Amino acid sequence: MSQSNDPADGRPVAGGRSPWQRLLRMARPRATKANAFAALLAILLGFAVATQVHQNQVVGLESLRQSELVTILDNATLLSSRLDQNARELQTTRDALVSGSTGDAAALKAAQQRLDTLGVLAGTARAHGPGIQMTIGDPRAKVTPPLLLDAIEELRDAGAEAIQVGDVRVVASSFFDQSGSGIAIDGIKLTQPYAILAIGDAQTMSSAMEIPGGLSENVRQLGASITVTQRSDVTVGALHALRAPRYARPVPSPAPAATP
Amino acid sequence: MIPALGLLVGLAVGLFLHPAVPLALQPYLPIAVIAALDAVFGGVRAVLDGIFNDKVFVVSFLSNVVVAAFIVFLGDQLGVGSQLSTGVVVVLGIRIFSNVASIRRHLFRA
Amino acid sequence: MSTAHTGRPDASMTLITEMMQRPLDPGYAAAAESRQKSGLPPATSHRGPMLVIFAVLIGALLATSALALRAPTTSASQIKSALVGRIEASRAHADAQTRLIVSLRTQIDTAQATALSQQSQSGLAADLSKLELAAGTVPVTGPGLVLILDDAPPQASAKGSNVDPRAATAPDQGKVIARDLQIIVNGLWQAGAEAISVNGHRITARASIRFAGEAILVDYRPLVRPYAITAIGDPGSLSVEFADNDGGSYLQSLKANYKIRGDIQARDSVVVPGEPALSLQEAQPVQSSVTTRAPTTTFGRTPSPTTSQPTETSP
Repeated sequence: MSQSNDPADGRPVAGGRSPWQRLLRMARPRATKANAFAALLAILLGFAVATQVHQNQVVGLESLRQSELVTILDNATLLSSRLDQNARELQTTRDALVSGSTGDAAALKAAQQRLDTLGVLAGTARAHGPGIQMTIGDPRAKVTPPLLLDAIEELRDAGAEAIQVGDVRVVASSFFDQSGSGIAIDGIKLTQPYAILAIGDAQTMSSAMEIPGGLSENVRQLGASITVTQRSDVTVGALHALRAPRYARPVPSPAPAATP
Repeated sequence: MIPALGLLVGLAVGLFLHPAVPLALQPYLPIAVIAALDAVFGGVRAVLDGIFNDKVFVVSFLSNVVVAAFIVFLGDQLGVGSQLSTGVVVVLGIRIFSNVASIRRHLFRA
Repeated sequence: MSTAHTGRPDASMTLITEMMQRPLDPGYAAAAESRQKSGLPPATSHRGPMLVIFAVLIGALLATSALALRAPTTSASQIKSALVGRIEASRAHADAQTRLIVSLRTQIDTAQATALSQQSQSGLAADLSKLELAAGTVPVTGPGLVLILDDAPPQASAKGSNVDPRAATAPDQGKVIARDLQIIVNGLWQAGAEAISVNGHRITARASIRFAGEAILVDYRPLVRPYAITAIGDPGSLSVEFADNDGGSYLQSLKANYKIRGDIQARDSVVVPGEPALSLQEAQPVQSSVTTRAPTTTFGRTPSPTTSQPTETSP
């Protein structure tokens, strides 16, 4: 073939083109109606594929039973209302901060209040508020660390904001371990009877303990005793010794905190 | 035109009266529907080709439905019911596609 | 030497070629030919009564089948789809609120940081960032590990008729339950983890690991399998100490007895997200750090009027 196939030639070559050149020629955008329509169809196809792939990954809620769905809905509603309240408070704070004359004092106060909140959550500040007082008497050491851990998780689910077992403050990083015949939290052995204080909605937490299959029933089945008392004011005075993290560093901004 | 109207009338009658299908016949309904669709599209293509014959249409429709249902029934008795029905669906589907492609060529010249 | 049959090369594929090339019933062509031979037009009229009757029948057949074959929406499935709809709506609302909270927090933190630096409250700012790290409101990064926990692989049978007899007597033993996650996370804390997240949800003092039937919820949000537990800690000792303690041996027994899959991968750098919506509703600090003193003036800024508020004293 005497036709030139050299793309560097520049001149349009008739016939005898290499397949790559044909492809390149086809890929060049041209403003025709058919091209636009084809592009639209391709976009729709891509969109449909992406949607289908996403659909496949969505939580298979349909496969759960009705009772489980009801529980999930309850949790979702609880989360929603907590977030709503949080958002409202933050909006008030933000508005106070950006408003002119009271900006500085408001900023200082907001920072100090945030310090208080974080201190309670991190276990470095004493806290008080309505809540419950639980006493577990376990002379024969039947209560296991997983059971107590489950009780703490149950309390958190019921909205507990600050928890103390014996003299130990329970925070996010608290771990439960078997120590001799008893239980130790964060390596500190607990003495019998286990005295648990929790600040939060007293009614919700106390019902959570008493539900069938809940902590009270499990503890009694093991032969231990448990009493749950609602209090209008409980003081969580134990403190958690904060250790500066050696490996965890804050992610440098402006990356915002990841949302679920 | 008139047969198309008849089709619509039949659809409306079926939707409003909602006749109950006997339980024994229910497994053969999907196959019957596909066979009926194959006969209908074949008929439309014959119209466009100019060789439509109502007797042939009726016979082809009846025989399609009966044969398809019989094949599925036989398959159920032999234990290969799902495979045979898949085969029937594949063949009828290909025929439907080919007939529809020919209809499209007639109508849109594309 | 046999004489080759001079037929079409695909003569043996008559079935498929018939199907693809002659989809139209050959009866039409044959009938048209015979009609033409006897002088009639090749196509018959469209208006024959028989045709119309059959058209009606076909329509009725299509409609009846459509109605009969539709999956019935029992009241139970209707309730379930209503529930799922509400859960999805609630989750969308929660996601939107979380984004709003993140942006509000960023604005507040920026405004606070500026104000604090202007009022030379660097100590307060340092305390704030230290506690944010400890409480879990900010994302953190560092070396650590990722533990992927998943249910046991499904039994190879299940073609409908053959039900695994073991599965009937011991159902769902291979499923990861909330208690497994609790014990494993507990073990990771014991091994020295500094921050842990499960499927992107940071474990804070208020985040619970619970279950709803078979679904696991972390911090009120349901999880999708597989469960990825991310932990930041000493890369050398974290996985070793975890394997040594009760959490690690629990994971081992899960893998050995129930074929639950749990793979630990050490990583040089992982990211544990923060939980920006962390707050308190009922608890109050016993000793509040909110003060009444006027902010110190720097850089010629005029002092704001003192807000006279009594400090909260311990009860």
